[in-house]
Amino acid sequence: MNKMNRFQQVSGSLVILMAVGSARALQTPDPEPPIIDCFPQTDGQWAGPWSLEAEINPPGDFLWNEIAHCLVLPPPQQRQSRVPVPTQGQ
Amino acid sequence: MPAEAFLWNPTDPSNVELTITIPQAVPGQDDPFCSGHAWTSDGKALIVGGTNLVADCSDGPEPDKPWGHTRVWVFDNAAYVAGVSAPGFLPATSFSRERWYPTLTQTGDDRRVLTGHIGYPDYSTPTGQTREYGSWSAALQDITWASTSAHFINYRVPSGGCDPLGGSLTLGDFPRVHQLASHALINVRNRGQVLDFNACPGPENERWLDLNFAAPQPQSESNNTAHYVDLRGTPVNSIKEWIVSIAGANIEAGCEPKLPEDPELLISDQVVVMQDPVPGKAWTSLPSLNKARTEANTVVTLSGEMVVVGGYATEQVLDQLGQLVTVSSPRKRPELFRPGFLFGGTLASTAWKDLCPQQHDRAYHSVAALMQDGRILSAGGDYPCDSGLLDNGYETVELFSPPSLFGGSRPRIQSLSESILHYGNSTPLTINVLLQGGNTGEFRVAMLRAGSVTHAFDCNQRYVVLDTDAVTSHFAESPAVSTLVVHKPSQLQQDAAPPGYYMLTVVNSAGRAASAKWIQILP
Repeated sequence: MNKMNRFQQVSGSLVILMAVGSARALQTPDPEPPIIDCFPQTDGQWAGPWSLEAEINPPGDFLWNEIAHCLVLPPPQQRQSRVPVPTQGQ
Repeated sequence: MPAEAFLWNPTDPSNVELTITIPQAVPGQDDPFCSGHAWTSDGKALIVGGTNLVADCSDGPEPDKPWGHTRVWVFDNAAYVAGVSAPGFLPATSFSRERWYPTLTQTGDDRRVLTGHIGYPDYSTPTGQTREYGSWSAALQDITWASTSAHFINYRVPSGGCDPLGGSLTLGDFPRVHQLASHALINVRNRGQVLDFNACPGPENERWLDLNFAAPQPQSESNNTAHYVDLRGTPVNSIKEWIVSIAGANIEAGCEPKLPEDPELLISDQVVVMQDPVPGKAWTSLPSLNKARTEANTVVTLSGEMVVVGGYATEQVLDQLGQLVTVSSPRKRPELFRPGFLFGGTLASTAWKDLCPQQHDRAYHSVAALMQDGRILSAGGDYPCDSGLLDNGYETVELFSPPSLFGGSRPRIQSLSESILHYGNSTPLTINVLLQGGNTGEFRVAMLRAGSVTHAFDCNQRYVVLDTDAVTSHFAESPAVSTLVVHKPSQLQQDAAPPGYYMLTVVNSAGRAASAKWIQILP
């Protein structure tokens, strides 16, 4: 896949920042069954949920993380950089 | 365990596309959790502060008196090529005072203002220095820090003995600080404040003025905001602007809110708006939400509607022993509102409409953001530490298609003549729109900033309506095409539309919006 195609695909996707965290394992409620008396034209429509749990909560690890940060990525192409980014030590 | 970020791509929602380790000096002690962040004008994310000690609920709400850290990262995905190179979180120059729950606001003059902290005035540093993070004096430290770095040039430093907080004002944790078109900043939190640039004597002084929210604005914490700027048909000096405050509660967010059984806890359903905010301006009531909620996200759609997603309230019920117990009441039904100032009619001409419910609780720590195609991402969610409410977090993502994406054809943007707009530039922006049934050729052109959400708010979210002229429609063609010319880019004001990346959309007369195209605005 060439670079431009890659960018086009990535554009509009998201970075979700997960923080490291630990917490007491509390009771998890069962998800409610989906309610189906919804009409997209008037009520909208949900898709998912998709789990990220396997990624952020490895098997056997009682630690859990939280999805508390979300960034919608702008496209990197055609970017004009105006300000230098100072890195540590500069 | 190191801090990590996950790149999630909605085209393959079942899998995380990439995992990125975030560099830390001491994992767990300089964590980006509870940081503030914003997109810079050149498309990088600046991430500042966070927690220095990841809270463990079993330790109670104040585990080891966390006070945050000074770490700064810059996220850049420009070099991302799948399988070849990863986007990076680069450590950047640290700031001078620790920040936990700060807000980072992109300003019109291409700076980032860092405000707020959860505030532990009774906590001491290892050297015994008292910390007063809720106060403006702490913010001054960061402004000083900012002005010493080429990258973080910031607002001017008040001087001359003028108390910029005006006595007892505090900005709070995660203050809702927005850049106003007037160049002032507004904090839609606590009692509400406006940063007035002329309040203190001397050109180098600014001061937060207390808006002293009177009814109807009882909520002071955990509220949401929506921000609209309308540039249509206005001379440069008469931009119309609205700030909306939605719901919330009289609790302090963070890891030690009022517990649900606290009789003083008030979770609000109220919504207020202020047009063209200036000190002394009154808030006007909008219709209340159907369900009171706190820690909810408000997402402005491509069409300009407000959609409130998630949040929760509490209620008392009898348990099996007949005793009153407090339980959470998650708000799984989003609510939608079409503001009269954008859709016509009076401010209160429409009510909030319940929408189809999502599956998982999206309470504290949840996020929601608008995507380029008009769908709304909703993810995460748990309940505050030691609240006694059921939870260990929902590490899931859901996507919501609001009603305006159904029931008729959406226009489609074929092309933009420019990918970058400059303030004051006379070059018109030409938009070719593919008409797809039911279009009358009347359009609204709007831009929405790239999302940067944490703890259910995004102070950089704004909906900017551009002035449009010279609309030429060719209905005889098949398919019909309309050419829109945004011929007054000089109306673009830095404070009305701060520099950076925006999702540009075209909304037809039926309220249906095209999938957005990215456009960058630069000085």
